[in-house]
Amino acid sequence: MSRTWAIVRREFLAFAKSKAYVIGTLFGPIMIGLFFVLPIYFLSGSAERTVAIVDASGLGIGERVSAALFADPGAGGTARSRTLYTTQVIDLSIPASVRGLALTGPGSVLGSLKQSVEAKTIDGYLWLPNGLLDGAKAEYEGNNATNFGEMSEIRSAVQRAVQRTRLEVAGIDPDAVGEAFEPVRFEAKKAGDAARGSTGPLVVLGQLMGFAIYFLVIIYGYAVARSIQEEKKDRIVEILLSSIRPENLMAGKVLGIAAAGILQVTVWAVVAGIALTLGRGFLQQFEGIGFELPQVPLWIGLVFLFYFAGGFFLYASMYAAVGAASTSDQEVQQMQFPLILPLMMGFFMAFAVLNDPDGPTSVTGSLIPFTSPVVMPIRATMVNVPGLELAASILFLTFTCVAFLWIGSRVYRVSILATGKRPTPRQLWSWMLKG
Amino acid sequence: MLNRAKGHTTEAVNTERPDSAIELIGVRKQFGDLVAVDELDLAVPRGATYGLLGPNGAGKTTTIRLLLRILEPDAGKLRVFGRPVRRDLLDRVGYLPEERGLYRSMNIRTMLSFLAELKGVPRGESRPRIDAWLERFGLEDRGDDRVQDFSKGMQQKLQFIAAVLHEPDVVVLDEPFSGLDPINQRVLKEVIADIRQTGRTILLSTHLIEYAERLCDHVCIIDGGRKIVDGPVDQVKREHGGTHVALTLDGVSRVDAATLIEKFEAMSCVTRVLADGSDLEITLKDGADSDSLLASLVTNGIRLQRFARVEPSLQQIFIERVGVDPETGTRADV
Repeated sequence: MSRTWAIVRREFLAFAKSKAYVIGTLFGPIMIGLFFVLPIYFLSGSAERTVAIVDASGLGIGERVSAALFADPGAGGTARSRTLYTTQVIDLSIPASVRGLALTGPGSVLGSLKQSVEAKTIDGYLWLPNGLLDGAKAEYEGNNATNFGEMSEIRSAVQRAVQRTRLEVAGIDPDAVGEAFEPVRFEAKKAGDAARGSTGPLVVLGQLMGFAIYFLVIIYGYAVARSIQEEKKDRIVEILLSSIRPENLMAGKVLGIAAAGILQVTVWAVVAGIALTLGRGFLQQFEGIGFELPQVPLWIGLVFLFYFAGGFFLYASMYAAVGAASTSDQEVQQMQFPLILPLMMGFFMAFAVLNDPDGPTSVTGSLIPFTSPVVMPIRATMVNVPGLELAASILFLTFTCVAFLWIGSRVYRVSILATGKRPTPRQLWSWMLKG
Repeated sequence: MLNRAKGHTTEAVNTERPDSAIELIGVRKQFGDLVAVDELDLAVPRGATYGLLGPNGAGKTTTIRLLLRILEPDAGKLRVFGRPVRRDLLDRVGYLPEERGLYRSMNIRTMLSFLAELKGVPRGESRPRIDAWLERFGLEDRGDDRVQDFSKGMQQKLQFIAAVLHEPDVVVLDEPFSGLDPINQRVLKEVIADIRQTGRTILLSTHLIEYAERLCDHVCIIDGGRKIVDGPVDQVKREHGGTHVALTLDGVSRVDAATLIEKFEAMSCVTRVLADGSDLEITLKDGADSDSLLASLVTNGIRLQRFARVEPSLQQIFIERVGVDPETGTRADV
């Protein structure tokens, strides 16, 4: 046992001292943080736009659009924060002599607006034609015309202004309609789920965990295969095997790399925890727009750890066999794809789970040990998984893990010293049976 | 540093061969259709320096791997100090594999202490031993370098240190001289001689018969996984060598020597002639007399500088028994 421990320690240190690992551990959370925060930051419209609104409708829609651009998006508004608009309404129903400018020609309204846009004194102008209520097309020309977010804000403002006007024309009080269409408050709660309360933020966390497990299993599983393949290639393995049983050697390597993985994840979790605590003020700006800080219950941590460990050991045992049977790094890469195919299935099942966490795909996926490490954490944060199902899933995964570690160590044992041609699957199978 | 390590397990009572450090009985190993080791019996006496000789592919490395339990035999028994080979027993065995392998990016001292730890030496204990060995091989300043910064020859020394660091009672060396320059070959020979002095058992697999002859007191020649000859070196020479005559021709050109050699080979009493310029080593047929050879040389008017009855070299025996020159690997006609 002390020898296996020596292998674990060496493997851990060799892995943890590598540059990629140090960088990944230290900068991983920062990268992930940026990945989530940056889009929010970029979308949080610090932009200011000056827009001229040319109202040819003769119904005062221009003023309404202007008001709508200032107004809160209200119910059904998008999660993004809005652009700050400065508007100038030019009402064409006021005679040109009063306005001071003709509609077309040099020094006209359109001419001067185009000039202003070109000179960037304004960002653009909106043209509200006569007959807008009956389907005539409103047009916008400006430097920001390709900005999808801002165009949808302007479009939505025109839409609301037109709707209000239509209602008024029909003799209906728009405010009364607004009240009538006030969204109903609705919350979906899984039966028996009362104690858990609202699960929204947890679901986000569940997805994060499921996908994190998917990537970590691949990254660390591949590391196991590479490390074994390198030992084989550099012929160290012969010396090691004269001192330690192949099963213990393999176990030591897998555990060493698992330890490095757990350390990395722990560092990330701690850093994320600290960052969330310190950055709460910053993040609170975005509350109410769909970002809420989840309170992480202990059981979620346990589910994550179990399925991460289970998934890792299951796939690492296959990766170990692949590493031992391969004669080069390229071969490891080639053989990796069929190996992770079931895990990828789990990844795709995850989307079905998000849609219907108690559907047949979700239940099956969370029971099959090859997919459950990804599917179950996501499912468990969405619904109360029946105790029997959870127990079965844990049991299946544990048994499969043990079986695969055993099979993996047999393949490892027989193929680690074989050189030259890569063994065929049939050979591997017969080696495995012979041990 | 060659003192026996303290704390080794006491040797078990051995019922069969208390004097054997290593024992193989009817050991067989097959890879697919290839029988690598075939019903092999070996007994390496305790304290002996035992040469395992054979051409390439004879089954030497497989035999060693079986002994170290790197491979499992298909049949037969393997014993170390009279006990079936188990992991704990293997702590008393040191191994220098033919295919050298070290962790390329590891610090030398850390790596050596890791390898010693796998043989049960606590990390604190191995440090002074590592320093002593590095000094012996003139590498004392390089202990904190990485393996990849070392030349092949230096890596080989490290590999040797790794094999003996835990002060094993049995040292298994598979082709220890390959890849070393002549100076380092000599250094290694001296080190092996020192280890031998301390009464440890050495199993030396090599195709360099000349080294084996100088270092070993026992030899075993195997070919095709089967034992051809084994025993103490002098006994092997006595029993398998036949009658050998060394002679030096006098005043003969190379061309003339070649004609003469052909003549010798045609003689009814001669089995084989090994020639090196005008120095010849002649093997006589069983029952043939060296006196009659001398008489026929004199009658034929061949002038000699030297004529002596000699012990055959192991090389000679090897070539005769195996039919292959161990160094060139070419198969001779027997």
